[in-house]
Order: sequence, then C-alpha cells, then structure tokens
Amino acid sequence: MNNELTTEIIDTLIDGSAADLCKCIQKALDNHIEARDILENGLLKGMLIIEEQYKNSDVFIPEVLLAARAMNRALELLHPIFKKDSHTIIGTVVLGTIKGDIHNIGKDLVGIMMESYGLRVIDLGINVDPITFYKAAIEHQADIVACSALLTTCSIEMKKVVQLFEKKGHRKKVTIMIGGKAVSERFCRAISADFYTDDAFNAARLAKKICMRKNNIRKGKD
Amino acid sequence: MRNLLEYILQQKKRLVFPIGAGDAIKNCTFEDHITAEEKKAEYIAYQCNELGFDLNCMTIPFTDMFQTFQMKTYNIGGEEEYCCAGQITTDNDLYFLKQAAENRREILDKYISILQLLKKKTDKPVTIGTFGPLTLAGHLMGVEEILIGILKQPDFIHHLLTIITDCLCNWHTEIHKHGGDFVWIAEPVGMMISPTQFFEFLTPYVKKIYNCSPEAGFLHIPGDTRHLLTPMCHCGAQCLSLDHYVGMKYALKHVPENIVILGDIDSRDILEKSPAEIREAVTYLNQTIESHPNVIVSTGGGITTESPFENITILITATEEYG
Repeated sequence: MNNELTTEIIDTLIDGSAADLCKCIQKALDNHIEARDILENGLLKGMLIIEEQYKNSDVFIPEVLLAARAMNRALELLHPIFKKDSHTIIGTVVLGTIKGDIHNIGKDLVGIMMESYGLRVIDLGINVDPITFYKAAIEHQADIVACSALLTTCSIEMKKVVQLFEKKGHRKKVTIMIGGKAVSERFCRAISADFYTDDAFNAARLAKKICMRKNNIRKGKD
Repeated sequence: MRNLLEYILQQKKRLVFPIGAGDAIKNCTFEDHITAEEKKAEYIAYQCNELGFDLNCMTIPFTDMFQTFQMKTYNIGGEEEYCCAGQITTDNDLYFLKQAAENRREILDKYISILQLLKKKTDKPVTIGTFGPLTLAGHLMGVEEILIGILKQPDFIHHLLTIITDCLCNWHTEIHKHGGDFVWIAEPVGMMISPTQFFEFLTPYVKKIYNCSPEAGFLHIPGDTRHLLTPMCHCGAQCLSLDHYVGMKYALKHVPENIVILGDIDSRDILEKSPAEIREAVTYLNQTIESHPNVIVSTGGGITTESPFENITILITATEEYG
C-alpha cells in the first residue's frame, strides 16, 4: 500500500478524527487499494500504536475512545466490502455486558478491536441475561461468548452463563471469555469460564487466536 | 476532624475504615416501625459501635443526585437507577440543570436528618459523602461522552462541572454545618483520565469543594491510579483512598507522609476469598504499613453487599491483633 496513504490513515486514526479518517479511507479505496490492505497496514497498525501509547501511559482512555470511535466509523465504511468476501471473517463472538450492569465502555472497545481483527461481533449490548447470551450463541453459531462486568455485584451472573451452557449441553462448543474490572483470573477459574483478559487489546488478540485454532481443527477434520 | 493526621496520632492505634459493610446488615436488627432514615442511621452506627469501624461515611447514591438535578432515570430490574443518556447536550440543558440544582433541597435535607440521627448514636467521626463533579457529570452525560467531551468540547465540560461543583459546595457546607466530620468525595471516573486532564478537569473542582468546609477532605478513586498520584496529592485532599491496583508499597513511596492513605485490601477478595486468606492479607498489610502512621486500613474499592460478614470483621480484628 502507498506509504503516504498508510501514514495518513495511521496519523488520522491516532488523532481520532472520524470524518478525516473516512476521507482517507475513501481516498485509498478510490486509489484501488484493497480493503484488507487498508485494514491491516493502516487501521490495525494505527491501533497497535495507540495500544503501545496506552500501555506506556502516553495516552489515556479518552484518546483511546476517540481513536476507537474513529476506527468504528472506518470499519463501517469497509464492512460492505468485507461482507462480499466472507472468507475474511475468522470467527463469531457474542459479546455483552452482564445482567444488572450497564457499563459499556470496555465492552465497546473489545467489540471494535475484535471486529478489526476480522471477527464477526454480535453485540448484545448491556444488561444481558444468560438466556440471551445462550440464544444468540446458538443462532449465530458463535465460537466465543464474551461477557463483561464492571460491577462486582453483577459478576456472579457470569457463572449463570457458564452453567446455562453446561445445562444445555453446549458448553464444549463455545469458548467463554470474561473481562472487566469486576472479575479476575481467579474468578474465571472459580466459575469455570475459559479465559480472563485484563484489557480490550488482549481480549481481541486472544479471541482471534481461539478462532484461528478452532478453524484449524475444523480444517483438520475436513 | 480538621487535621486528619493529628487525629490519627491522637488515637494511638491503627484505624480501620472499610468502605461498605457487605452482608453485615443481616446481623443488624432494627426496631419495628422505624423510618427509613432512622434505619440508615442505625445501620451506620452499628458499623461504628458494634463492628468497630473507626470512621464512617454514607455516600449519597446517584439516584438521589439525579433527582436533585431533575434528570430522567430508568431501572433495569434491580434496585439501581440509572440516568437516561443524552439529557445534557446543549447550553440550554445546562441552564435547566443549574436551576434545578439551586432550587431543590429535599434530598439533601433527607440526608442531613440521617446525619443528625447518626451523630446522636455514635461518637466516631461520620459524614455524608458525595460523588465528585467529574463522576456526576459522567453519569449525566454518559461516561464515554464526557471522556470524549474533555478532548472535543472542553468549554462545555467546564461549564457543566462548574454547575455541579457549585451545587456540591452548597451541600458540603450544609453537611459541615450539621456535624459532618470530614468531606468525602468519590471520583471513580477520574481514574480514566491523564494527569494533565486531571489537573484541568478535576483538581480545581474538588479543591473548591474541600475549601467549603474546614474538615479534612478525602478523595476516593478506585482502580489503578498510579499515574495520578502526583495530581491527587495536590488537589487539597488530606486523605487518598487508593485501590489495591496501586499497591501499598508503591503508594507509601509516592505519597508524602503528611497525606493519609486509605487502603488497600482488594474488595473482590473480600467477596471471594476465605477468612484465613483475608486474615493473611490484612496481616501483611499491617506489616507493610507498620512504620507509617499515615495509613488507615481499608478496602481498595467498595465492599459489595454479598461479601461475607466474617471477612469484613477480620479487617478489624486482624488489625487489632497485629497491634
């Protein structure tokens, strides 16, 4: 991809201007640059820089949110192109904030990052009860169910999600990930969920790895 | 309690002030036919007199603040009430918010009456706490919106914060007048911003509130606030309530000795771990702070209602046993 355009996309994403970023993306598309190329060499690289800056405390949540919103707008622009090529979807994640909790910042960031890694994200929103997670996982043939909680008082609902999948005999088919300030690695083990991650970037990276592993197993079986 | 450190030194023991009391309410019996206000005062007094909390605070919930600001709220089935998003977007909205904040007193009066009842039931320092301007603004606008607003429309955010701060100044002045022994401000949204943003969008506002009362100011910001310790130490608070993410050793190294640290047993542990594990954690905390009088033993964040009674009492008994 044109270096100048790549740099422009990365810089605009980091600045967080959604309108300018969409203009850059359109310019790249008009120059016959492939959507996958724009995503991987422009947007994802930009988000990696943001992640690095966040981990080094050079930027903080407001800047990450602004960049993530811009990223989201850019992905909306690229979605119709990706949809034509279903091979770009590497897996499906059903995502939501657990029942009793309405906090969405962490969940939204996770969703945007997962989409940018080529995962199809079914975002159930906030205050999601276990049965809704289950029904959505069945309907969309999800590889992963990802539950978020900020309130400790609600984290116990995650256990109910795990139990429901067990009760329905569907537990082995779905990987259950948990995250959010209310939970921990220990809590993850205690409720028999599969994975805990401590931030949006790690959650997305892990989800991608899980889906790729599942795809490889499926291919092996074929 | 105008000088908190002096107060601590006078007590000649390690003070304990857990934030919340879990399912301790099950052990508290109330007389029949008492009002909700009397029940609240009774419960806070029980924590001080029976459980051994050395200080205590009841924080006015968001719901009551939203009512004061005449904001529409919604309920998702439990007890919690949330503010409907998108109600504060224009200067006109700010004007109506200001009118509401200036004219509505009944919520504050309810809490003042609880404080007056409470003061009759305990000699321990007690107060009414509030959430801080940034957090209240975050819940009125939507947390995501205010964080982006800080970058995209700072003047509007300053205007909103000024209105909320003026309201909180009035409230804390009244709380002091009616016997509030310290000024408690909880600013969880503060954790998400940078030190520079903290100096601009949090420091001047909480400082103004602390200046409304001669009593010691407490600032509670849960989460990992290591990057914010410098601005937190310069915002006028005599006490910083820090979460376990900061780490007591790190806090002792970075917070000057004239500022009191409140912390920092992980409140998730209080919910999940065994009494033996909590005892071990509290003993370790006491060992860490042994030569530092400027620490009050507490939890990092708020204790959730399901937390076992025994785990909360261990905070007090294990500290007493340590001496």
